[in-house]
Amino acid sequence: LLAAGEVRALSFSAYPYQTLMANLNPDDVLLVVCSVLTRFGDEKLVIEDENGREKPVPGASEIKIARELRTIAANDERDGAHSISFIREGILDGVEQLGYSVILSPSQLINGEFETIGHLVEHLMASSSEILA
Amino acid sequence: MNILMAVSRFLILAVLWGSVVSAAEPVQIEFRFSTIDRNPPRNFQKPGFPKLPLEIIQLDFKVAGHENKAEVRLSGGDFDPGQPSSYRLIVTEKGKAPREIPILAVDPRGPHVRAGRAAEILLLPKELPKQTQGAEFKIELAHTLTFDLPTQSEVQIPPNTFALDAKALETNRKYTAPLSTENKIEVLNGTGGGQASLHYHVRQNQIKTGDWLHVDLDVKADVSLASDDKHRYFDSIVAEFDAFRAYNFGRGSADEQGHAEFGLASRFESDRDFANMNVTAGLAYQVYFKNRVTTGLHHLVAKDELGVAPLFVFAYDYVGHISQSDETPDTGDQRLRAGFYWSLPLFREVRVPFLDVADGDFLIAAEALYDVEQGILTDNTKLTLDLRQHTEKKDGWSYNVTYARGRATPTYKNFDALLFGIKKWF
Repeated sequence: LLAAGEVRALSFSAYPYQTLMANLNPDDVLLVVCSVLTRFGDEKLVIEDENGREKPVPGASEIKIARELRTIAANDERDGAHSISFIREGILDGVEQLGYSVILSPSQLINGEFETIGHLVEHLMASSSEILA
Repeated sequence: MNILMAVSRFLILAVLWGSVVSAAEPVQIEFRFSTIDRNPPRNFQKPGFPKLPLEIIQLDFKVAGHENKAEVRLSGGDFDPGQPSSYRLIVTEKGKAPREIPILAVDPRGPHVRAGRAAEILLLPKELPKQTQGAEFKIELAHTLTFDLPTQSEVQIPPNTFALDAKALETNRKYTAPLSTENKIEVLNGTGGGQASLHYHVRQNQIKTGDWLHVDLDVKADVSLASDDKHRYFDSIVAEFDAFRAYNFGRGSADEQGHAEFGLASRFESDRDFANMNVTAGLAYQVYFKNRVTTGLHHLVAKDELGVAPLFVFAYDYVGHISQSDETPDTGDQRLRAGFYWSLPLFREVRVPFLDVADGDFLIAAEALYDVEQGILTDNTKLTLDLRQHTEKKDGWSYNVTYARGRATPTYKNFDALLFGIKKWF
């Protein structure tokens, strides 16, 4: 087994080239997503632990977001705001700070592809790849 | 002997169980358009490949009952998911014959790769048509795909064709293409010279680095070159310039916090006859304000939904009427606008006639407009009771009753109405 954080090139028979080890922690990604979305939502998604560090609220993965993201996109259209861009950029920035790049398109956010926060986190995990220095 | 019989019965049961599970766990493949506008994969960075933003096609495997996609393994066989030649992208543009666009590179992503598992694969097409309206996109798989599931069962998907949603491509371009400059002049078909359109869009986007200013300039002009219309030249022209600052306020865990945008928005617009030409310039402040009151009300009914925090909008617009037709009523040059938008959840999963199980919301959209010179205050208020079929799918019905009052543009006549609506989501 590889130690956490270790980067090593592996090969897999189905893919004719080498790819990288990924050690992205889903709890870290969940905190990134909650920290961004909590700015736009009615529900609180982030609380502080006893040390004053922010963490997701219990059950955050199950919270539904699809309709809310559509509403925010509609508000952007009506008032000329840029909230969907900031949500997307905020998530991409947060995961980049963890050392990974992910694929997240505006259409995926707006078209209801992610029913819950957990679905969004799962997609970010699956589409992640480590950024090389 | 008894032991041998017991073992053989167990093996038979295990095989039967595996088959049943296989039938109950169909693998779904979804192809969709996505965009990469930062950190492209290494194998998407070869010389001659498109530059950022990269328009890609995302291939996504889903297995019912296995939310963790990393549990699904593409077992290879004749189909090699890592080879561009395994996929054919066929595009049919409006009024043109179908054509194949080469796939330049393939990239499997994520922690699934470590265990030899595949969940998402990215395909990089050589180029995609600029005009997506009316275009059809299809992906063909040349060989059978075989998946190994965690239950030791196997699922095969025969060679197939999958359609892609062109609207997703259009949406992505709207958000990501402005990150670069696009200059386009094209002459469309027509008689006596045809039509030309010019689109110039540039965005200086500092969102990533968090700098103060973001700038967005967009100019669109449709020009008529037809001999009958030469005196008009422009069919329409719109120029828009936005400069704004966006920021978060309050700690992420605070009761009172949110996201705000403050900025300048200006716009010039004209119709084809130049009978109506306006130029507007103004300031706007928009804020999503999370607070204890609305959070508490929302949490009482729908704590498993994010909800959208109340949105407040304050704006000042200067409207310069360069020319105005006789049919348009007189309005002043300066307007103030304030808006409040919020959705209060009323109930969840309650039995309602015609909808079976339904969710209910009360939508508030209140807007006040003040014409500074005419001294006229107009309130455009819309209160909606929305009943929506509670379904896991996105294709339910919804009924709504709306009370609306105010003045409708462009006639500015008063209206006061109770409206009933039926919607079908699909």
